[in-house]
Amino acid sequence: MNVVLPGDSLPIENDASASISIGPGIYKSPQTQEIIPSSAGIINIKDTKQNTNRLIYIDSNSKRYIPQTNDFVIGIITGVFGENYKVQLQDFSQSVQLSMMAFPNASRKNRPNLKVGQAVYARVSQAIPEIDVELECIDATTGKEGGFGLLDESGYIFSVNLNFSRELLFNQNSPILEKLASRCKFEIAIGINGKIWIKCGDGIPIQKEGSSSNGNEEEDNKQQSKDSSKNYVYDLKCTLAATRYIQSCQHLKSEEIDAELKKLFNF
Amino acid sequence: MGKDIDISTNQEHFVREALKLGIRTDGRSLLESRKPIISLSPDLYGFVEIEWGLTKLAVRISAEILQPYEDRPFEGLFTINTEISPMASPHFENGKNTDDEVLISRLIEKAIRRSNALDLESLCIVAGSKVWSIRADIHFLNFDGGLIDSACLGVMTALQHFKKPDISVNGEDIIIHSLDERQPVALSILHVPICVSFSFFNPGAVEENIKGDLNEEISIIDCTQQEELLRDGTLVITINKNRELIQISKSGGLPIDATMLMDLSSRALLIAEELTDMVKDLLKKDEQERYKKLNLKMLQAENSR
Amino acid sequence: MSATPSTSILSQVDGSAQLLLGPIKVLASVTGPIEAKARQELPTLASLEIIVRPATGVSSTREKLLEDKLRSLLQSIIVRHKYPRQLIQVVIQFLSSDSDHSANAKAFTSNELNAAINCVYFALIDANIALFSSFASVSLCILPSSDSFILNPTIAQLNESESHHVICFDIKDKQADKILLVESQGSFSEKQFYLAIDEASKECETIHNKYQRHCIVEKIREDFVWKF
Repeated sequence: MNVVLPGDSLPIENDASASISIGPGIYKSPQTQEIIPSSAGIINIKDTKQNTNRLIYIDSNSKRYIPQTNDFVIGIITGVFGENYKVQLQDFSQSVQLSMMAFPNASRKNRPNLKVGQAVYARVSQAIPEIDVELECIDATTGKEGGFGLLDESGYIFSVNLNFSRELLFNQNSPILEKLASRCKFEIAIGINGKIWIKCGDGIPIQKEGSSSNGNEEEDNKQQSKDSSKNYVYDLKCTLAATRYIQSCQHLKSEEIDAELKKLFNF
Repeated sequence: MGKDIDISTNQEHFVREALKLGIRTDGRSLLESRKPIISLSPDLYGFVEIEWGLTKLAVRISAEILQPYEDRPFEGLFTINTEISPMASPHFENGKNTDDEVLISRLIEKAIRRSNALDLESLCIVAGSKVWSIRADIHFLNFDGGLIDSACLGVMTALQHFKKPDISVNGEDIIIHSLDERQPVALSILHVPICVSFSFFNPGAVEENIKGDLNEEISIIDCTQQEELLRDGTLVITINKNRELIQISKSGGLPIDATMLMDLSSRALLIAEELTDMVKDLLKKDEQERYKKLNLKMLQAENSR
Repeated sequence: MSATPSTSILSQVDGSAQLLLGPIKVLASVTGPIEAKARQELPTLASLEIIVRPATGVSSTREKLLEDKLRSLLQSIIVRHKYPRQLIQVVIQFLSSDSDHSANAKAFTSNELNAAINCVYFALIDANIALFSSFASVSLCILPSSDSFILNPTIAQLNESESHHVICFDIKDKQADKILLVESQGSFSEKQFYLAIDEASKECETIHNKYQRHCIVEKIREDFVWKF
């Protein structure tokens, strides 16, 4: 583990031949063109094969998400203005925009119907710090849904630290989700902004809105719900256990994970 | 107004469905309170830190000599400061009272000050001109629900822990003896009120709330922040170990029936008894520690002579 | 320096730290970058909201003074261009201080300022706010008719002293580089002042290399515990 702190000099020789790409945690002073580390964390230096390009970034933990283009995020709709949704990526952060046209097959007449409080999985399409950040719920290359869009109420949403959400999303070898899969069937959406949507089994049933109740129907519903209720209780417990498992994995060594999983799924 | 916290319908849906099955997101049962961890300062009097789940706060008691109010010449002064800084949560703004903040400070005020938990007349030094003024500063450090319960516990523990310097009165002159000179004096506490908050969730649709004949409200003790954001109504019961009910404050939710209220009150009593005893034990231990230290000091002083 | 810092102790803010420095116990929290109010917003820079709260009583001019000193320091150390139009909120809460032990402590702010600076460093690192460099500060006093210093003086020592100083250095490559803040009070000669600065730069390096680095490496190890 190679840790740098702000004020340290970066462990790189200054040869002008290789161009340098800087990532998170590195700051380039506009006046002196000097590259300095601006946060404390683990430094990563990667050279491309031909040694023509060098990538430098600092991996560090934080709780506050700063939008970057092409990030996959989970946001909550907090309002509508004009043809845009106002979306909150994190409490107290500046809200971002999601155009109603940034959905597959959307047009002036065929608008998406999202309500305040609902969650979406989206891609940051534009992130310039000086102006409003924009999201889109469409795969730009194919014009199709591509996994983006509404995250329905059958799943639960919770938060983790940002470095942990990156680990879950990008580290293919991470054992955390694999181990969870040995316990239950689940669907997961990981936002790089530290929000995770998870649904185990079939999730929690969603009541259809405006289902007016007359006597007979209610009876039917009751019968139906009794059949599925056992499953649904189990799925709910699984979802909760999975949530707590992922949250506690943030603070566990890899050898402690199994015990935690066993403890939480003991019901 | 403070900054809003937005909560997704996913969370709301899940929390409500789980509560219908008697499950809470942090694994507690519905009527299970979080266990507070109380730490008393070993060197200062009236400095208490409380960890109540993730909720954290510190209480400082301070005393000074002031002139009493003209209409109450025999009574000391007692103020409780419940200002919440953005440290507890960015939801709270500095210097601006949010509605939550006003509610918290009023409930605490009623629970402790207006129930005469602190004997104000014992704070009088010279009638009409000099009295002790006791001030309790509550510093909320982290917010995860249960601010009222933890703040009340914190203030009551700190008041019992606090000792004011001894004084001698000579006509109009008052000599304040330093802590080394004379043993400080504890405050006179008349009773120990404990607040217990219940929260209500209405499992049915909104319409049922209005009809009110089908009372199936789910009541839970000691909400976390997430549950506080979603709840339909709250009830705060302040009670002491002597089975004296000090306040009942209910806002929102369905009408509550008498048997339910009785049931919740007796639950509150159990918690109050438990917490009061816990604080008493802690204070006793602290007292013994201090006594030991003092003895050691005196022995050392004798040796050096 | 008997500093025992701990970080990430509060869940609702983005970064937090607690520091014990003699009789002073102080907590710092940092939240940001978050949405700024219209009146706070700066078009090209992050705005800073700094709140200092005393252990007992309401905040007075004393706390406002501390807020001002901290603001001038933090403005030059945070890379504010990185977060235009955003707000960074810093709260310093004292839980116990010198004034709990002696009555005339209210006359001095140097020990509290020193504790606040050293504590806020850890909170900023915990919140992952971009900084130009690390920093550390020292509180010291010069006794009458001598050139010797007392580091982290008690109130009694401050009372006797001829002058007292809080000196904050930025740290580049484990070495004290530039002076970020000097607060001096009392009468002192030019020579004494230069000696004081010299002494402070050495002490700042010690603080950084002995405590800050160690604590942050531990913190990062804790943050990435599942990786190792």
